[in-house]
Amino acid sequence: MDAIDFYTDSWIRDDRDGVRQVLAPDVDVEWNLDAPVDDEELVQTLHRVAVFADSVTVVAKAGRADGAALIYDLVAPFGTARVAEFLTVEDGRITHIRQVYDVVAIDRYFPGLYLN
Amino acid sequence: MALPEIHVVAGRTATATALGPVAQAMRLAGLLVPVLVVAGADPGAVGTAFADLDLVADLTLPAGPAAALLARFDRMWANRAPTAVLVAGSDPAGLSAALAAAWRGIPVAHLGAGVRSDSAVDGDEADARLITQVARVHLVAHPVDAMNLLDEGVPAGDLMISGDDTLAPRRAAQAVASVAGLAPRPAPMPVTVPPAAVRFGG
Repeated sequence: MDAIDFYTDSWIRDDRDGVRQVLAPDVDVEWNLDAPVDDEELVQTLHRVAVFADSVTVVAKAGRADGAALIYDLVAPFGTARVAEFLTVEDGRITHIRQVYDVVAIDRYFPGLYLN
Repeated sequence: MALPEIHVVAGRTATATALGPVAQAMRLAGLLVPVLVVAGADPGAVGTAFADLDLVADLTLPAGPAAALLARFDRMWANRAPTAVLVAGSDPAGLSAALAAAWRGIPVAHLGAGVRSDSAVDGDEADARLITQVARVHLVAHPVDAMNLLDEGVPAGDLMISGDDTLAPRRAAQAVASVAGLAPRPAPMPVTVPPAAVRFGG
């Protein structure tokens, strides 16, 4: 299993240690949520998604030697939110993460996901 | 020197109908080469929609599941990266194209942005909202669409009210050229408020 698959499998299964293990120590994280983010905030947010969502599915993936782009559907009790994620990998660890949320759906179906 | 290419992506007939006039305006302006890219479940129908506007699709991605489109656009642009990508509305193929372009750092222009029904179950609208998050310029037909985008946190400077009149395709084409650094940002369409809308108590 490569770093990308290990990362997605870990966070979807709510394995926070698995996520931390595959992140590079100086991982650069950015997202479009209205809150600051670092690696630990990312881990905690993914944890909150994993425990609250009824299911998380990778609906599309494009891979390259140095990374991947993914689209997830996050199914919550009252609706689905879509998220895109761009990952860069170096030496088997994830060095850059850019998450692009459908912020309207996140605020509607995942209230309290992030603190702003 | 070859003119910069703008990849104009349509995955539905309605999208092709909306994008076609903008592609024609780009050709007339002579600053950009619009490359018509057909994708989605029924490429034949989309190609026919372009043909109805006397346009010919330049590139056609094979029909297949939407899940495969993201990778297909990425592979295509690994060999032939455009200066910018133009998508429209809530087309799922447009979403895949917009995300693949954003991943490669290619600017995305979104025609027909900001149309919202606020439906909780509209999957198309979810695709449009995600396109909004990665687009560099948002071309809206009506002021209310611009308001929707402002409500979603889109910077006002990234919005362009191109209108829905006969000059709208030219405004949109110029805005796309400005994304590519080839033209100044067009002046926004003047917004006039009908007198009835400002009448109180009537």
